[in-house]
Amino acid sequence: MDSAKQKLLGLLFVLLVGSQLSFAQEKTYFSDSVSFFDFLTNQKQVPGLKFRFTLPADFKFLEVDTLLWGKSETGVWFGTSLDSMPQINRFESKLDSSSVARTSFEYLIYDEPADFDAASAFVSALLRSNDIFPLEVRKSSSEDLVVLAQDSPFEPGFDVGFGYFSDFKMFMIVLIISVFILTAGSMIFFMIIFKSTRNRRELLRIDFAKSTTTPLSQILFEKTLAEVKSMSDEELESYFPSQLRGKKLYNEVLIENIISLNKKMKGDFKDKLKSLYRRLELDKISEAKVKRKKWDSIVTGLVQINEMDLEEYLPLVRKQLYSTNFHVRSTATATYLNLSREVDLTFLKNLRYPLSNWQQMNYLRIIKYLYPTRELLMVGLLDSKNLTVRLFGYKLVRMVGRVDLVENLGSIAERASEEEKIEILKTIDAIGVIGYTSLINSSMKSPDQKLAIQAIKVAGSLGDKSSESIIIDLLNANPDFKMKMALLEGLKNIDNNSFEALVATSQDPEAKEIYNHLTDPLLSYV
Amino acid sequence: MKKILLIEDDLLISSLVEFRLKKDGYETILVKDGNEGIHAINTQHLDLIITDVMIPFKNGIEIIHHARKERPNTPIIVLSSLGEEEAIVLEAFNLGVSDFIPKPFNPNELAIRVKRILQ
Repeated sequence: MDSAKQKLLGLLFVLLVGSQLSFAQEKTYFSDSVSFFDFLTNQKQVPGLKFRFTLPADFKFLEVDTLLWGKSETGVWFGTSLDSMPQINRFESKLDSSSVARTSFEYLIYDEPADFDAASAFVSALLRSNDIFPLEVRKSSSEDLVVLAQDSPFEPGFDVGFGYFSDFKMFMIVLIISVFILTAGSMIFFMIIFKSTRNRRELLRIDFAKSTTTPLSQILFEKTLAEVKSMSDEELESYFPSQLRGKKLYNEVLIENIISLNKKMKGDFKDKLKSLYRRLELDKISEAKVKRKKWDSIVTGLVQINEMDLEEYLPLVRKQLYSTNFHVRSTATATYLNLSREVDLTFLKNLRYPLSNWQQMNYLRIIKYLYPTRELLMVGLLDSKNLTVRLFGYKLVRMVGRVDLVENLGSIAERASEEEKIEILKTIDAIGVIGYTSLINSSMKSPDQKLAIQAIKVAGSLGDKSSESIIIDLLNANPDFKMKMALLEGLKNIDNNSFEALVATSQDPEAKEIYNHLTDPLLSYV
Repeated sequence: MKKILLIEDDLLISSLVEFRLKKDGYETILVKDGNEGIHAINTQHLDLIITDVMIPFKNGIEIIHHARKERPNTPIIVLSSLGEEEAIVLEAFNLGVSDFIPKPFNPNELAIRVKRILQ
């Protein structure tokens, strides 16, 4: 049964090949019969493929070997079918010369005769489907090895070490890995160094902090201010050894501790600390910091000068008032205001940089604290070309209540911007100076709503009949709710009767709502 | 010798106060956080407690609560920054603290108040 199936398959295969059908994926592994024979010789056996010799029917054997040759129904002689090419070669060597001349070679696929094309296609199909694998050609001849060796000339062993460089890809990979390992190693190394240095520094800082606490306590509790001022070098040496004072970190810790105590203590302790700061020449360190180029160092130095009231360094501080760095400029101004004998703000007139809201608030806070005891010099502040400086000036006039400067505000307001007019109006309102009706009235008619609303508010307290009629005109122009609210409130403050009469005759429901709101004692301030 | 517990996280201030109190002949116990303070209140015999309001782990009010519960007769002085909320200061007084010293302060003034309370 199996042999019949195999024959049927072989037949089908032969038919397929014979019908000259070609498939796009098929390829023949063998370009000619020579390469096919070489393959078969090397492969020895191919499953399903056999070979035999045939002789024509009229061939006369000298010695008929019935074991080797048989006769087909058509009378053609055929040799024993063999399954390997070496066997074929051996068989051929046994044939006599007359037989060899007339023999034909024939392929058998599953015992069915086939030609060269069918056999090579069959073997190719087996190779493609990985049913067979080509065996490697083994060169066993020692002579062949010598020939092969001659193709690779001898190179000295030390050249092998540079073999990596001849392969570019390998060289790049090795280079990248080496750079990565080196970088990672260096980073780890520097991190360890950095961390250990920082830890050592922190430990040292703690040690220094502890070592300075007792001497500071002794000096503060056991010596008077005069004694601190007149301490000799030897005495200082006994508290703070010069060996330690030569160290930068020790001085930093000493400065931090003295400033920290100065902040948390009051009474003569502060004076003692300031004297000690100078006596230990820590002020020189602060001075040096201000003279450095790094902004953070300059700020630190300025803060130290400010905290320890080092007035002698005011010229140095003054140099930083126009610094390009915001932090330096702010700190220098705060220090300058704190240390000056009078609150001299004239330097702000020529400031090129804008004053931020934070800066303005900070300076106003300092001035508010200092103003009662020191003279305030703000000449030219309102004439500055810097808008933010002028705005700061109006706020300052309002805060300190400088009535003498209000006259200047009137003339400034004529050429001032909307933003400035708002501040001027707030100042006039806060001080309560009358005589600015024209400014108030013109501002109420401004297209800038913020200015108009501010002017209406001021009109409520400083306005007159002319302001009242402007308010009524503006109300008749049907403004938006926000404006209407301000106008009605302003009118109410100028003349309550007029306000009541206007709302009573008004057909506007919003006016009624605003009226209810303004007359409600609980809502009037909302 | 009278024993005073000082609960203050600023080591510079606590060392300075300790120096001043020792000069007056008091024994001092310095602790730097609320937990250590509670432990000291529970385990030590104390004549006076001086505590800051803002300290790590437990605030001064919690310390006062605990001290009032465990040692109702031990006087307490509160050290606090002026910026701290009025409500905290009022609560401290309501809990029966003996005195309140705002920072910045004069250590000599503190020493006088300690002396007065312990007399």
